[in-house]
Amino acid sequence: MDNLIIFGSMTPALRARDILKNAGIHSKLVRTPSKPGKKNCGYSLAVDSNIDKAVSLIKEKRIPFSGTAAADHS
Amino acid sequence: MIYFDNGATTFPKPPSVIRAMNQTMRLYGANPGRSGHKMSLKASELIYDCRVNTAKLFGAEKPENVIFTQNCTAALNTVIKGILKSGDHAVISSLEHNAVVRPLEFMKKQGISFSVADFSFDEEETINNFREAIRPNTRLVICTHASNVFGVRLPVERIGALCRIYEILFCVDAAQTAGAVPVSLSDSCIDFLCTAGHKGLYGPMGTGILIINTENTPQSLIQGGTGSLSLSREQPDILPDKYESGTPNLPGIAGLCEGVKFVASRDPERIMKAEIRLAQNLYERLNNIPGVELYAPKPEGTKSVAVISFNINGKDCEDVAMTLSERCNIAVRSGLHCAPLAHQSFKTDDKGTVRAVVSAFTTQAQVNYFADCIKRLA
Repeated sequence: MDNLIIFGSMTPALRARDILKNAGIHSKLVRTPSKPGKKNCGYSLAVDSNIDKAVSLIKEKRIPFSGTAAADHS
Repeated sequence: MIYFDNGATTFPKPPSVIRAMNQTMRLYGANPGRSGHKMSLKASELIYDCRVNTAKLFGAEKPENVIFTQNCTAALNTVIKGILKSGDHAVISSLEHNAVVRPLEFMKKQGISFSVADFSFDEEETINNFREAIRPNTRLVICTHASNVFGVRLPVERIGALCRIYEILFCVDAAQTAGAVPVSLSDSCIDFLCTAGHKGLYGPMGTGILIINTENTPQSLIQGGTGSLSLSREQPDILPDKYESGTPNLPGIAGLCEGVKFVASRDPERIMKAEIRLAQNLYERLNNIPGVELYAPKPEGTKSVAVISFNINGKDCEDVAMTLSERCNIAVRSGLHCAPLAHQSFKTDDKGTVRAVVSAFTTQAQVNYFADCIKRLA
C-alpha cells in the first residue's frame, strides 16, 4: 500500500516530484486511479514513505493538489 | 547560403535541437499529459524539462508560469485580448510589430483604445512620452524590447518601473532579444514576457513562449481539452493548463528545450557581446561604402541588438535583397518587416529597408563577404 498525492494535472505533479526528490523523498508519477462514481483525469505521485513531510513540502511551495489517497496494488 | 535573415528565424540551428526533434519523433511520439503509459509520461517529462530550463533562463518564479504557444504573435494576442476589456486603454511604443498593432486595432471594435508613445534616442524623452500617453483607464503597456527593423532597444526596465508607479500591467515583446540579451524576470517589473522560440532561442518554427510574472492572469483565448479536470466543463484555471488546450507541439518543444539549453550554456551576455562586435564591424564597413544609407547609430551592447537596416541609394530594397540572393548567395530580408510604425518613426515607410541580422553562428568571414558584396552593388 502506497500513499498517493493527487494532482489535477501533469505540470504541478512533476514540479512536486522534483521538490520531493530534492528533499530526499522518492516518488513515482502515476495516472490517478479511478474510483467508482468519481472518475476524473489527473496524475498522482505515489510516495512510499514520509507522506506527511511530502504533503507539507508541497503545501509550503503552494503547488495545487486535490488530496491524498491510499493506492491499492491488489 | 550565407544567412543574415536571423531576424525572421535563426539558421542554422544547433545540432542538439535537430537530434532532440528527431529522437522525439522516433522514440517518444506519444501524447503528453493525457495517458499513463511510459511513452506518454516520457513525452510529458520532455515538455516539463523545457518549462524548467526556460524558467531558469528567464528567472521565472515557477516552471508552470512558462506557457508554450504557437509563436510570439500568439503569446502577444493572449495577453492583449486576455487582459483588455471594453473601456480599457493601452500604450505601445512607436516601434511595435504588427503582432501588437493589429490585435489592438481589431479590439477597437470592442471598445479598446490605445496610444502610441514615440521612441527617441534620448531615453528621458522616451520615458516622458510613455508617461504622457498614460491615461486613468490605461490597463496595459506593451513594448518591444528591441526593434525588429532597426535594432534599437527600448528602456524596458524604466518603462516597467513607470508601470509599477501607475499600477499598469507591463508586457514586453522579446521576439528579437530573448537569448541574445540577458533578461531576468525575478528583478524586473515585467508582468508578461512574450517571445518566439525559433529566433534567439534557436528552437524550431512553430514554437513561442509566454511567461506570466503576475497574479493578474489573462483570460484564455482558446478553451478545450487539457488532460486535466476533465469532468469540469469550465476551462481549468491552473497554469499552464489554462492556456494550453489541445495536443502540444511535442517535437517542437523538445527542440526548443535544446535551443534554450544551448543559449544557457553559451550565456546570453556572451552571445550579446559577440553578436554586437560583429554587428559593429558590419555597420562600420557598410558606413564606409558611398551610397549606403544607415538609419540607426552604430550598435552598442546596452542600446541595441545585432540588427542593421540599410538601403543603397537609388536601388529598391527588394532588388538589393534579390541580387544578394541570386548573385552572392546571401539571405537577407527586405521591405517593411511587418513593422510599419517603426518605418514611420525612421521615415523609411515609403521605401522599406534591407535588414541584416547576426546570430550566434555568424562569423567574421561572413561579415567581410557581406560587406564586399554590398560594396560591389553600391
